[in-house]
Amino acid sequence: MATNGKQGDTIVSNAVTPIESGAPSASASGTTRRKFLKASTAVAGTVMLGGISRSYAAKGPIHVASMFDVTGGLSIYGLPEMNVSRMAIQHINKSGGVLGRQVKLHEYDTQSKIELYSRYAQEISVNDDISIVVGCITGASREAARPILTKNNKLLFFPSVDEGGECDKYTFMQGSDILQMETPLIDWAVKNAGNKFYVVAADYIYGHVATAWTKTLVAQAGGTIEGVEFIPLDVSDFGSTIRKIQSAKPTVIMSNLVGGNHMAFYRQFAAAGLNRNIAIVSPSFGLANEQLVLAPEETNGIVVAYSYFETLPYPQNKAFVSAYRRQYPDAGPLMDLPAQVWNGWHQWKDAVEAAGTTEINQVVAAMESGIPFNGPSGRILMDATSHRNIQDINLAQVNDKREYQILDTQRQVQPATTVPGSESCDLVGKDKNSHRMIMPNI
Amino acid sequence: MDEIIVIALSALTSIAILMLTSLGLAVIFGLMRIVNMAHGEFLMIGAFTTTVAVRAAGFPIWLAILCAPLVCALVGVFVELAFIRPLYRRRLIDTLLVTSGLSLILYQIAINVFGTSPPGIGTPGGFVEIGSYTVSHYSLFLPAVTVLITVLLYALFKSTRYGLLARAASDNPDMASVLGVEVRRVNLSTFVLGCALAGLGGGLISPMVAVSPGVGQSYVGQAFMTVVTGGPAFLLGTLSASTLLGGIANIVSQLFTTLWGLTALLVTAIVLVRLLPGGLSANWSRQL
Repeated sequence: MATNGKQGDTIVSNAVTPIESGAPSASASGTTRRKFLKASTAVAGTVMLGGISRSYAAKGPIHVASMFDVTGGLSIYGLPEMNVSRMAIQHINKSGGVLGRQVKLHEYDTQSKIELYSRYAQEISVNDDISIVVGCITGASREAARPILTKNNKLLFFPSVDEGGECDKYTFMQGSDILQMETPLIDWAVKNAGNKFYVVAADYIYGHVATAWTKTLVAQAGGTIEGVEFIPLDVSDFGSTIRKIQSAKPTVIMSNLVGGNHMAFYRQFAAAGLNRNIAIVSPSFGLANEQLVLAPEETNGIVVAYSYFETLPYPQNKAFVSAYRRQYPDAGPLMDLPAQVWNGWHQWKDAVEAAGTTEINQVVAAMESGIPFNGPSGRILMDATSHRNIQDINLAQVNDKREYQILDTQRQVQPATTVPGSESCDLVGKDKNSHRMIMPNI
Repeated sequence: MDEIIVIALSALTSIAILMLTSLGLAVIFGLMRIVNMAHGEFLMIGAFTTTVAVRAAGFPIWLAILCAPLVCALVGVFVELAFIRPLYRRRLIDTLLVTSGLSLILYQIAINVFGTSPPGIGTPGGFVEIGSYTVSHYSLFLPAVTVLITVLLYALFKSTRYGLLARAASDNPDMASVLGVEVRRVNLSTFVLGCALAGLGGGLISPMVAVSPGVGQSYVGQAFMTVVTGGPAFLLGTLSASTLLGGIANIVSQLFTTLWGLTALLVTAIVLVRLLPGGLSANWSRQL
């Protein structure tokens, strides 16, 4: 995805760049104070007429924040996420804001540096205006920011797919978890490609927990694990891994690989001719648009599972994709992460409007009450126990034109509430005051 | 038996990749003593040149790979004239700071130009069957081309006038200057040669890895380790170090796990530098 001028402007030196969030017409014709006042009075008036009369309209905008890696190594994920975050807030503002107030987004570029997550989380924490963050990309960055944010009564919505285990009253997990994604993948593999699995996984917490799930789920599906290999994130020479796979003779590879270096695996796998008779399924392939970076003959046939694909037929998705293309014509295709950013802002908006306030405990209660939202990925609903979305999971296969073809849609899949071999989380029961992460037992 | 052959071939490929990604640094850091932190970005520029030449200009892959050193050489000319030239007589740390900054700038330019997930090219050629195993042609081609490049470089530095002057200008610039060597021009050529070699390395690995703006960064650490372990004979020392480190890393990966392979590479480098602080070639008579 290429940056364009608009993004460039917001990246420069200082990371904090509040977006103009004036009246709908403001951006086109230049904001004037009078126009803004007119528009906000009109909005305020509508709110009063609607019978939900509150004094908020007079108090100026609601301040919110996003922290994403717009520059540096993780910009592959962070750029589209920040794009969508900006677009979601503009969309919310155009349709009247939240509780009749405009929303002002503070953008923090964390530059792919964990220490900036802690620093900006501190900054947000001492800012009394900001009440919520939709942000963070990796589990490590989330764990740098989350304890600081939630200790200071700030909400965190996390849009990445993840390994599970988060158990924090003030944190909501938008992305699908390993249980939601790998169950359909393994079922598909056992039916279509055989039941002998070989697992290659990134050598950090995500890969290890994902592999623990893979082992559990493969055993349930009646398959066997022929081998497991963990690959450090900076390795891109897979010669020894490919030799080991050939020795183990599996029928399916479960790839829990992550990041740019690991893309080389699919290339070297195909170059050695292994893609002729070994299938690949993966809960992480495609998040960084691997299907674009690699050649079609290398990715043809790989099966993935996500709640969001650009090709989903819902009208909300068509509108979402065309708005994104209009605003960011040079940015690449949309994947699960940015779509979850959109979902996050809208779920937050619905919860704040149901609660009638941005006060954190009331917003959390409204989130937990389960307000369904129909977004680009279809219907989603927050599960109160796990603070994770109940959502559709689509099984899709990469075709020879670098596109995803949807094979199957599983409706309203429940998220996991446990970590394999470790504890469970119940945020409306025993963990209702928890701000922790359940560590896996590996 | 076929398993042993496959392991040996895989080790050769690892050695070749390490050598190819270290050669440019061997000239710029090993010979010229410029700490080039932007080495990874030169690899990246070479890799992008190759993918763009194939995808946008429709060049055959071999020609596209040969474009990589040319483009990197041009960038190298600019970098030398603008940033490196004033630093030859300064401390190492100055070159480190300048090239670190250059690395960040080149990286961000690549993101702005190519985006974060640019389309790449597949591995050319097919694969050979060895018993029940298959090995890609390209992974066999890399060791062969590495040997060829090393031989050509050896000949260049050993038997040409430029090679002699380049070594003289790096060894003792004052004396060389007094003897009439135009040190500035020789240094420019050598720096550009190093950049071109990095570009060639990037071009050669581009069909095996996923080319993105960050593609070179994972090689920089290992390249420095290889050149430092290699010692003063910047060419043959680097070759020995590549063989030792790459071979050990690959074979340990084969026997245990990839993590242990990487660990073995680091441990070997640390132990070697502890026992032979001057590097593998510290006591060799030939300084090439």
